[in-house]
Amino acid sequence: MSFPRIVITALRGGAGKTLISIGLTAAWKAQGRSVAPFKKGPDYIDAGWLSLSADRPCYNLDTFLITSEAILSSFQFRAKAGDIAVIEGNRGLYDCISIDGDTSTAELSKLLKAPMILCLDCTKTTRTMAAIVSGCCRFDPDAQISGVILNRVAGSRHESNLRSSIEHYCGVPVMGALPKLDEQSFPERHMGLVPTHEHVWAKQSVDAAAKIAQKYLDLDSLARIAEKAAAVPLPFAEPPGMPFSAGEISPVIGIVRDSAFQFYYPENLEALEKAGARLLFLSPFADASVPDVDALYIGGGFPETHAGELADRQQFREEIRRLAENGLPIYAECGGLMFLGESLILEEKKYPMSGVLPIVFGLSAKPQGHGYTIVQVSGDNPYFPAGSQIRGHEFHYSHVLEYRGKAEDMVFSMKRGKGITEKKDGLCYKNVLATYTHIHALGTPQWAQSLVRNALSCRKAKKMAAGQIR
Amino acid sequence: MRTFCFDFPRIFIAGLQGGAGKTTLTVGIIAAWRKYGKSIAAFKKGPDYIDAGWLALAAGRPCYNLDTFLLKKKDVLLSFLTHILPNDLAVIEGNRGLYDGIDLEGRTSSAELAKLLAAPVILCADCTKTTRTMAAVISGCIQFDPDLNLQGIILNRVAGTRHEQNLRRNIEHYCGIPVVGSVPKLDARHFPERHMGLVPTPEHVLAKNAADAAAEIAKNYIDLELLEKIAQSARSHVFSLEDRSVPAPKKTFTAADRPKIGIIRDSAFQFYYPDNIDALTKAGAETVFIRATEDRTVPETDALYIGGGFPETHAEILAENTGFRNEIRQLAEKGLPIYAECGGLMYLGESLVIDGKIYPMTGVLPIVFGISPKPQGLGYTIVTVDRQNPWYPVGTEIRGHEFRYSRVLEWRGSDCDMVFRMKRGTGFANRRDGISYKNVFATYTHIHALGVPAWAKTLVANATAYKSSKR
Repeated sequence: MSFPRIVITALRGGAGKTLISIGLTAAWKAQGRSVAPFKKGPDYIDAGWLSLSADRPCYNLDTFLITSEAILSSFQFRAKAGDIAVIEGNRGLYDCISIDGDTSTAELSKLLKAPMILCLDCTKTTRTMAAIVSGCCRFDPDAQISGVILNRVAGSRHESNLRSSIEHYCGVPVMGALPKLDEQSFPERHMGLVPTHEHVWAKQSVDAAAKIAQKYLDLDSLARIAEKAAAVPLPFAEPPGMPFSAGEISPVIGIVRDSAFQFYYPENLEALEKAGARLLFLSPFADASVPDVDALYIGGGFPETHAGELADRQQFREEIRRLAENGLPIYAECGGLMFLGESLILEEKKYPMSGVLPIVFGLSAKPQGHGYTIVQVSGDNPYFPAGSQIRGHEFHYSHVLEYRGKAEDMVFSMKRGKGITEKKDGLCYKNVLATYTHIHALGTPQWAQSLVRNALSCRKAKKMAAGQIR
Repeated sequence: MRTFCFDFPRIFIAGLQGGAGKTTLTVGIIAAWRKYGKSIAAFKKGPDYIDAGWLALAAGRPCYNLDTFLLKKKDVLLSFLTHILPNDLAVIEGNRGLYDGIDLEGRTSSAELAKLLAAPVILCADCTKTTRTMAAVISGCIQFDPDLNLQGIILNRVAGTRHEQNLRRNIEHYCGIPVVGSVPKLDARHFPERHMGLVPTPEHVLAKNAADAAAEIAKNYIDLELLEKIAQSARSHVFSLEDRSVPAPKKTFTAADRPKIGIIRDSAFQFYYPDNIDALTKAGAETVFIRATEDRTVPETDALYIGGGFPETHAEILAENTGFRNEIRQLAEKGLPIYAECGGLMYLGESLVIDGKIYPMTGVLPIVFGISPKPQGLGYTIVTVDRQNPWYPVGTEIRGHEFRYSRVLEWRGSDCDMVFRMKRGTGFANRRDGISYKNVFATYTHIHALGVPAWAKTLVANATAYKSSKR
């Protein structure tokens, strides 16, 4: 299947890419187009905004986390006929952890044969932008830069200077020019927060972005660029997912999802379902006690901004602890790891957490771990075979104040990234595995299978126990 | 023809855009070199009083402006040469983005000036949230004009060692150009950058502290030895100019005839190119500095020059100096030559209205000014003189720049009172500027004396005439 597609990228993070991608998605949607949003890189927040503006899930594509084959497959099979795909890049178009740029946005655009539109923060520069854009066009002749969008333009003289320089020197069309926007035009302060459908401000922000796109972007020319790409065939890819047969009984996996725990790739949840699980969403704020589940998945989020409320849910916390002791499989990432700890200390105040793991967390003003991770599984655990290697990312402000467990309880050795402490991560206790590393299910296919298998064993054990009692 | 030669070390600090941290780094480099005992000649590209003030503070001597829009190329070359002392190392700070100019060809850009001065260029790159893409950006800048001698990169706002290593590796690999420094994101503890938008004066302790902090930053994060080697590598540049383009020697008067020009310079009126004041002296005048904020009476002079500045932040203190204001008005009425620019123009008005409060000014001109949060005129100007006046002959074209937040709330004069027609720029009103009243001249356009040589001669001539009329 082939469909129109376009990559929105920039020279750097903070150039206004997300605002433009959201606006473009929402504006095209308002024109009656069906937009399939994608986000490059490990990112829950921008993806959440794209999802809200397209009113359907936004999938993450990242060549560090996921193989090229899986990316091609996810991209081709998640878009529907008649869709136009908007892929938002991350950071600068050529930014990458390696010198050859193999995991950059530009490489993703080449893989998907999708033309790139470059968003330029034009603050206090004019003709130099032409030198910069031509540098980007020449840096990788295979990269297809089909247009630029001028952002933060300071008036018509500034705009016409930029337009004429870029069109003259680079031969790249200018597809729009956005002025410097103030708080009234767009509440950008919200953009660092995960939006949800219930948030009125989130919907208002998307509407504002759509208006900006309608006013300042050449929506038709952008669509023509995307449509031209539709004629370019993509390599054949197998449909994603290899269903794991859970047998006739489907285990139930509880997903702790609420304002404290928000970071879930939709692919991860879909992978659990594809592997045979039924998902049950729960929250310590909505559920007084933990419902009957065969496993739990607790993603990342902001437990630190909800520390008091989480601490207040004493019954829920204690049940989590009892269930863990009884062998319930629990897979926790980042904020989930923090919730499984003993306590969280914020400004010298101690907030009790669930106490499954002998670890006390504090919070820093600066990120304590930030970026891609590569972990080597170095110890036995119920999820990943020892010796295997996993890729993911970490991004956390929390740090460990106290850890009373043994070093061997951490079954991940960090080949890249910080981890929990001393280049170790993956704290394993009974059937619990908790880590700062967020994985992507398409990049780590064994994750969903293991979690579902463990849930199934738990379900069977519960049934047997019930049978014995009977 | 006369032959000249640049055979001294020199370096040009440019950026990819304004706000990339160029000024802080240039101030730091100059101040650090000076601490190491070097003698630095500082120059600033573009019409700019504030950055030039910081560079002057760091260098411990005046900083001169070089700009190919305001000055003819031969005057830029001569000015550069004239202000270099033996054993100097010249540092020129660019403005805006390296290639930003007034037209498609990039005329008047920093790159054009660097080529004219045959100076090696160091590019400051704001590396916020980007890594390998910076290599594409920099190679774009290298290829864009192969005649530009781009010799090194300073990475600014780097977020830690991993970020720095990634940037260094990529730039050295893809661009073949050395990284001569890597400066982290700085916070207020390292550097009180909020002061940088203000004109520093040697009395300000905070300005001295800021320059010292910038020197520490340069010492810690910039390879000053490599930077000096690059400055030393500047090739000897020989050029010839026609004899008639070399300025005439200083004019001299007898002690009795020598006119005295008062320059109002204080915290309200700070914007003077050192070249403008030098030009008055070279044209034979004696200069005397006067403070409108403190002096209770106007000393006896034969003309006044009132530059730009911030009368709006000193409105109350200027208004309270009633005696001084009234004297200025009486002197103007009597025919004292007064040349005023921007803030000086505002001071010659009737009043300044800020937040609904009216502050009386000198009342020489029937204008009421207000203040806007956004600039009302910003950029280079070109004016044509189209009416008779005691300053510029009709038909003359003058280049300068304007940058103002003030606007005209009330103007009881007419277009005929203005002798400038704006070919470029906003001007005072109706695309006109240059209010001429008796021997008073007031305009939003700031001129540079080396670009408008007639200005100093005329001001001195008018002062001389006034002086003899008093006798």
